[in-house]
Amino acid sequence: MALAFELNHIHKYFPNVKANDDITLAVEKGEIHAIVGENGAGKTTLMNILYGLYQPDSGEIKINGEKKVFHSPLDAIKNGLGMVHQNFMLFSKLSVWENIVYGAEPVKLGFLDKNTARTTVIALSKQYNLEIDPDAKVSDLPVGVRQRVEILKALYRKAEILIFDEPTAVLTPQEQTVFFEVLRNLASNGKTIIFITHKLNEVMAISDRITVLRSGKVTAQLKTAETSIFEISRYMVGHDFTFNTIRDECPIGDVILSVKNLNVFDKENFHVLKDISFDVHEGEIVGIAGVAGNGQDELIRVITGLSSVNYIFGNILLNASDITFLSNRFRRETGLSYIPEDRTEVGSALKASVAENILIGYLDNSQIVRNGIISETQLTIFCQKLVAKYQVKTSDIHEAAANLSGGNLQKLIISREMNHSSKLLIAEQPTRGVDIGGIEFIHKNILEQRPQRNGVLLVSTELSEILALSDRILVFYEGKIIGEVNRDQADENKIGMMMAGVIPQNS
Amino acid sequence: MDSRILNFWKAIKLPLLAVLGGFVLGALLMILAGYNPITGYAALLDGAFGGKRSANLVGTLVRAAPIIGLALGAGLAFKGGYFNIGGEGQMVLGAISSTLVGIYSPFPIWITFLLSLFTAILVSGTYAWICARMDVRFKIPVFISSLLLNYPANYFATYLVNHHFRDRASGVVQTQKIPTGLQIPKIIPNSQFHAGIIIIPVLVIFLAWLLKKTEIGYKIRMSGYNSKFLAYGGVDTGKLEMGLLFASGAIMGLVGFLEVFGTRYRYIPGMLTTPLYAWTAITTAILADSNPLGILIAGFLMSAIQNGGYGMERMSEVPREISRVIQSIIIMIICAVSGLRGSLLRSDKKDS
Repeated sequence: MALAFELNHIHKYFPNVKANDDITLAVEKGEIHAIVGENGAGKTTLMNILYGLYQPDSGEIKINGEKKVFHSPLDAIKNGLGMVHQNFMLFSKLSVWENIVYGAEPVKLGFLDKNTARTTVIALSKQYNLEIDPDAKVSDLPVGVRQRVEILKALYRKAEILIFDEPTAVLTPQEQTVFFEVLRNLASNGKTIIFITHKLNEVMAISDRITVLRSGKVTAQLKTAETSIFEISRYMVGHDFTFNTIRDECPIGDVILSVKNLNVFDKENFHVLKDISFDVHEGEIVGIAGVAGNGQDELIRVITGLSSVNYIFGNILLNASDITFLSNRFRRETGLSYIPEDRTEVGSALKASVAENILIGYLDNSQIVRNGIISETQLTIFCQKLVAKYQVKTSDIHEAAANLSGGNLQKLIISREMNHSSKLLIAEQPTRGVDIGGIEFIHKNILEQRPQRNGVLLVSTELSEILALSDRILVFYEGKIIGEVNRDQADENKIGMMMAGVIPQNS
Repeated sequence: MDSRILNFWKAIKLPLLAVLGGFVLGALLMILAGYNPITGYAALLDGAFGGKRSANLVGTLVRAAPIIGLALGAGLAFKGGYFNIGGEGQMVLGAISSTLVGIYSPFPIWITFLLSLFTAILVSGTYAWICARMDVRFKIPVFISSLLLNYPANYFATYLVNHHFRDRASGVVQTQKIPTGLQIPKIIPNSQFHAGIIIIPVLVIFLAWLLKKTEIGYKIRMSGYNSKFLAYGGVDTGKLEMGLLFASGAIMGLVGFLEVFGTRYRYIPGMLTTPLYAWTAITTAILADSNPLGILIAGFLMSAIQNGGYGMERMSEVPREISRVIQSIIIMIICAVSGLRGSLLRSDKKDS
C-alpha cells in the first residue's frame, strides 16, 4: 500500500529538553496509527511538527512521497492534514455549519453563500456517517458531538490525514464507543488516522499499528495484532508494569475524619447528601466509588469547605474538632491536604511560576515566610528539593506552570499537598489524564501515607484505581452510601452492581 | 536563556511595540492631514521636555505625579484581578473631605495636616471598599460598581461646595483656601513642583517591593491569576478583595490630597476631573500591565505626550488632538494584542 506520509530523522530541541530525538515514522494510507508514550515523551511535539506548528531542527517530512516543508499549519492543511485538538477550537455561539465552513466559506458575489455552505456540510456528514444537526448552536451540544464537528471541519478542508490529540480524554464511555466507530469508518474511506493517547486498552481496541515513544525516542513500532498491553507498557516506561501495587499490611489507628449523619442541600435545595456517616482512620485509605454525580463532589466540597451550599445538617470532625462550618484555612491548619479534580482551575495558577504554585501551601512555613516577607533563597531551595523528590519535570522553577505537561502539573500539585504530611489527604481523581508511569508514581505516594499514620479519602470514578488502593470502599448512589465493602471482599462485579444501585443479597 | 530575563523581555515587548506603533501611526496621520511630522514631533518633544531651564520638563513631571499616583492605585487592584475604574470618584471624595478638614479643623497645624491626610485615605479607601463589599455579598462586579460610583462622588462634592462650603469672598464656585501653614512647600521655584510629589516614587518602590517580596503581594498576584486557586490554598478571598480595594482607593485619596494641599490649596469642582487624570491613569496602568516600575515610566510617557501636545499646538500648526490620537492608538494596540478581557474582567469567570 502507498505511504500517506513519512517523517525521517526528526530532531527537535527545547531549552534543556530533547523533545524529539531522531524520530522516523512511516504511515500507510487508510491506517489507524497510534502514537503512545508517557506525558512528555514527545508525542505532541512530533504531531505539532507534522502539522506545521513547529519547525524541526533537522529531518524531513514527506507527504505522498514528496518532500515538504511546512512553515505554518496553513501549509499542512493545504497538503491534506487536519488536526482535532484536545481542547476543541470552536465558536460556541455559532451554529455547527458556521463553525465547519469558517475560514473557507463558499462565497457568492462577495457574500457568504449560506445555502451552499449548509448543503456541503450536510452532504459531508452523510458521506462519512457523522450525524449532526447543522443548525444547532455548538454551546448546546455535548462534548462527543462537538468532536464530530471538529472532525467535519477537518474533512471540509479536504484532510486526508487526521491527527487526534488525546481524543477520548473528554468522552464518556458511550461516546467513546461511537467515536471508535467513526474512526473505523474514516479509515475505511481511505483516510489516514493518527491517534495520540496513553490509554493502552484503546490502542488495542482501535489501532492497526503502534509507535511507542519514550523521552523523545522511538522505542518500538508494533503491529497491534501481534502485541499486548504489557509489551507496550514495557516499551513506554522501560520496565514491566503491573496494576498490582505492592502494599504492606498496615494496622489502623485513631479516627482522623469522622462524618456523622451528614445531610446537605445544594444551592437549588436538592437533597444531595443523605444521612452520610463514615470514619477515616490513621493508616487507612477509604475509597469512594460511584458513577460521577452521585454526591461525591458535594461530599468533598463540604469537607474541604470550598463551596457554599444552602444547608448542612450533621457534623464533620477533623482530628476531633468540629469543622462543619469553619473556614478552609482553619481546616488546612487542622490537617487537611487536598488534591482537587480540577487541577488547572482550582489546584494551580497556570500563569504563576512553579515556585509560586508551591508557595501557596507553605505560607505558614516560618523559614520561607518571615514577618510577611518571602525569602527568595529559602523558597528556591525548598522548591528545588520538592521538585526533585517528586520528579516534577521542569527546566526552571521560575517558569510558568502552564509550560508543564498535564502529568507533571499533577505531580507538582501532589508534591505540594503530600509534603505537608497533614493527617488527612483528600485525593480526587488523582490520576485522571496521567500516563502509566505517572499513575504508578502517584499510587505509590498515596500508599505511603499509610505507614506515615495518615488517612486518605480517595474519590475516583476509575474502579480499578479504587480497588488497587483502598482498604475500605464506600459506594455512593444517589447521595447515599449504598454499600461498604472491605478490601478482602471487594471485587469489580459486586461494586459495579452497587454503583448501578443494586444491593447484593449476601452483603 | 534565564527564564527571568525571558519574562522581562516578554513584559516590555508589547508596550514598546505599542508606543512605537502609536508614534508611527501618529506621523502617518499628520502626513495625511498635511502637516510635517518632523516639525510636529520636534515641537512635541520641546513641549514635553524643553523650555527655559527645562520648565516644560518640570511641567511634565508635575502632570505625571497624579497620573502615576492614580495608576498605582488602579494597578494595585488590577493586579489582584479587580478592575477598579472608580479612581476619579474616590480621589474627588478624598480631596473634598481633606480640604474641609484642613479649613475647619480646630487643632494645631501639624495635627490638622495629619488629620486631613488620614481623612483622605479613609474616605477614599472606604468608597472603594464599598465596591468590593458589594462584589463579595451580592456578586456585583467591581468594574461596574466602581464606574457608576464615580458620578455620585463628583456631584456630591460639587453640591457641598455649591451649597455649604463656598468661598463667599470669591465670585467662583470653590472652597476657601486652606491655611498657609498646611500648604506643602514648592521645591522648584516658579513651578507647581511641590515636596509632596516625592512621595510618588517612594510609593512606586514600596509597591514594587510589596508585590514581589511579601506574602500579601504574593496573594494579590495569585488572586489576579486565579482566585479559585487562592481560596483552595486556604486564603479568604473576600477579605483580600475588600482590603485590596480599600488600599487601592486610599492611594487615590492620597493623590486627591496632594492635588489640594500641594497644588491648588483649595477644592474647585472640576479641578481633578477636567484633566481626565483618572482615565489617563487607567490606560497607564494597562500599558504597564499594572507593574509599579512600569507605571512610573508609562505615566511619565503619558504625561509627556499630553504636555507635549500643548507645546506642539503652540509652536507648530499641528493640533493637540494628535497627541490624544497617539495615546489612544497605544492603548488600542495593547488591548488588541493582549486580549484585555481575559486578564482584567475576571468577574465574568466567577460563577460559583
